Amino acid sequence: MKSKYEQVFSQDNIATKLLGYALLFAMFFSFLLIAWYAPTERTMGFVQKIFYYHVPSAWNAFLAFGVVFVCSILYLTSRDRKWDILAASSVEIGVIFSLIVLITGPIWAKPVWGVWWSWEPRLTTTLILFLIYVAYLLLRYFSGQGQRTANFSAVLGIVGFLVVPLVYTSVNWWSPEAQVHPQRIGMGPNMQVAFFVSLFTFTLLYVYLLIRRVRVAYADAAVEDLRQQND
Amino acid sequence: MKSIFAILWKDLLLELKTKESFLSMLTFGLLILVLFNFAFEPTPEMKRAITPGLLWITFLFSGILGLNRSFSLEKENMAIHGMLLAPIDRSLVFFGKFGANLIILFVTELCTLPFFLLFLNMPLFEHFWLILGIILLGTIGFVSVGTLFSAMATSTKMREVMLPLLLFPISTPILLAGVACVRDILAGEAFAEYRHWFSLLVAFDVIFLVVPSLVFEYAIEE
Amino acid sequence: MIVSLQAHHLEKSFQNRPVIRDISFVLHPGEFLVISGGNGAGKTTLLRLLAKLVKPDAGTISIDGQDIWEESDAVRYTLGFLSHQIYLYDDLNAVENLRFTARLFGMEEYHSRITEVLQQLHLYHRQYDPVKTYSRGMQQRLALGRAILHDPDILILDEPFTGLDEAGVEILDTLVRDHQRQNKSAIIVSHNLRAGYDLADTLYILGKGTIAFRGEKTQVSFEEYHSAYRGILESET
Repeated sequence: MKSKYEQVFSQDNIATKLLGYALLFAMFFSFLLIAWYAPTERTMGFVQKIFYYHVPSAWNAFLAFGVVFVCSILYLTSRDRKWDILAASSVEIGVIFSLIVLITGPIWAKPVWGVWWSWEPRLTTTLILFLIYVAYLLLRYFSGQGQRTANFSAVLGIVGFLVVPLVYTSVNWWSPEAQVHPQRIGMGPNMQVAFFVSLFTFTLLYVYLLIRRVRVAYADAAVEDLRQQND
Repeated sequence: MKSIFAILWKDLLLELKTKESFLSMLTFGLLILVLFNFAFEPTPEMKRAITPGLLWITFLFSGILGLNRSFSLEKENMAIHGMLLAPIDRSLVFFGKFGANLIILFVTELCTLPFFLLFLNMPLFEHFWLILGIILLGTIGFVSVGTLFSAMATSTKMREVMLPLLLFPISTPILLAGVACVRDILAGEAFAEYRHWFSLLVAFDVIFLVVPSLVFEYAIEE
Repeated sequence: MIVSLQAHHLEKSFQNRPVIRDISFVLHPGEFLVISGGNGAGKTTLLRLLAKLVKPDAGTISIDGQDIWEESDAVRYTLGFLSHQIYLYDDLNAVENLRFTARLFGMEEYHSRITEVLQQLHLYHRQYDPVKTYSRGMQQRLALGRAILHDPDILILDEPFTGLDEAGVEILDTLVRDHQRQNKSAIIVSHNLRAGYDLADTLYILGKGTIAFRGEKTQVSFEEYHSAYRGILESET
């Protein structure tokens, strides 16, 4: 008897495969735009181009955690496990993109400002977000399966996201380096094209990774169900 | 509601009898103070500069101990079920625990303040009530989220270690706002200077009193 | 107040493992239901579902026709639950613990009721001693006091005889018969087949998460009950 998870998992989804190929193409195209179409920035030089990965990653992290927030609420109101699986998958992806932001930040900062780290509001907020959602993952993996873990994860998913505007505001007011770090980059038309293509590509990447990750989670759930049945 | 006071009083009674939270928090706070002084050998200017920060670091770190105890005491004999079996809404349990934790931590903070006077020459008396108010505001937010997370943390395999991992990142706004307010107050700045930080503290308190009370039932459910 | 309880197609799983598969029954006013079964058969889980401590994955539990999960928390007032754990605070004394329970249950004049219960439990002379100084038997007695303090209509007792000393067993017996005399009902899990049989009006044996055996005491002899129990246990191994 196939559990509902196994049914979803075993569907060989044409749409996802198409998405995968489209994504591959989009990333290649985006890379070309970034490397050649977009001009080299005047003051910062070639390393500025990391911006085309840095900012979309931040956007992805924020998007991922927003999805976690919504799914957490949906889980608590419906008790349907699929929302919990979706939330947990989104957290993992969000943490990865946060990590990319935290790594590309210093890579960008060192040649330009001479320091690896700056307590710039957005970077710092990303760091705090990273810590919150790493704690989410720790909570999850040290609690085992079951409703209690899902409940706790959902609570954290809600509280963790709600605190973000407060964290950003407080860090923004506090940050000694808010002035040093560029808040807004004046973008020429070529740069804008490259940026928005990259942003779109990254969003696509998030969706694709999410689908893949949820599939794996469903496979895990199907295995668990089978194991229970044979007990 | 009467049940909130019943729960609050029960926790306070337990604390009065054992004094476990109060003593451990006070001692730990003292240790932090002493260790910091050893580690940094502060000059008078340095003392002035680090006092606001050290104040909050001490409170947050030692506060964790009390918060952990709040729900670990409910684990013996699974006493928490006494409250879960009662015909009351779960959010009332939250407010009762929150209230007790707040009182215990705030009293501990009051008792720790003289040591700031002693070791760091903190000018307590000039702006005493203002500083007390800010400490109270910050503690409310910290204890509120902390009560929610403590309920969850004590149920996990990692137990008490989980609480600081969850609570500290979320407490960032309190730390930043609390330090800024205390620093400005000690420097004699007018309220207008730090009014935005004050509002942030209030906003945090309001949001994180309401939201945890709503989701608390999921944190203690079986 | 005379109340009835109805369980309808209850299901509950933990960590994806089904513990309660499909349980339905009716508890009539004044009926004493005794449930037995092997370890892991789901007895404790069933009681916790009935006490509104845990929410079922499927199915409903109704008291006097009202779904207990649709109703407000007030429905817990009709239930009194006794578990393996005593649900008391070690560092508080008997009076303080019972006072706390009384307040939680919104009881107004509780002083005399607490005294009455402590006397029934033969704990009155130790009422000001902290619970951690009590013997296991005394602690279990006090736990019983906590469960009956608000005079519930339905008693839910999970292996109440376990952990009780001689005096405790007598006291429990008296209290339970008192409860019966007031035409109130009880659901009791008991490993002690003989004691359970004596108390019961209705006997259930749980096996693999369902009710494998139903019998009325008036129609089933103890021997039949005993062999049915053994049969169900054997079929599980």
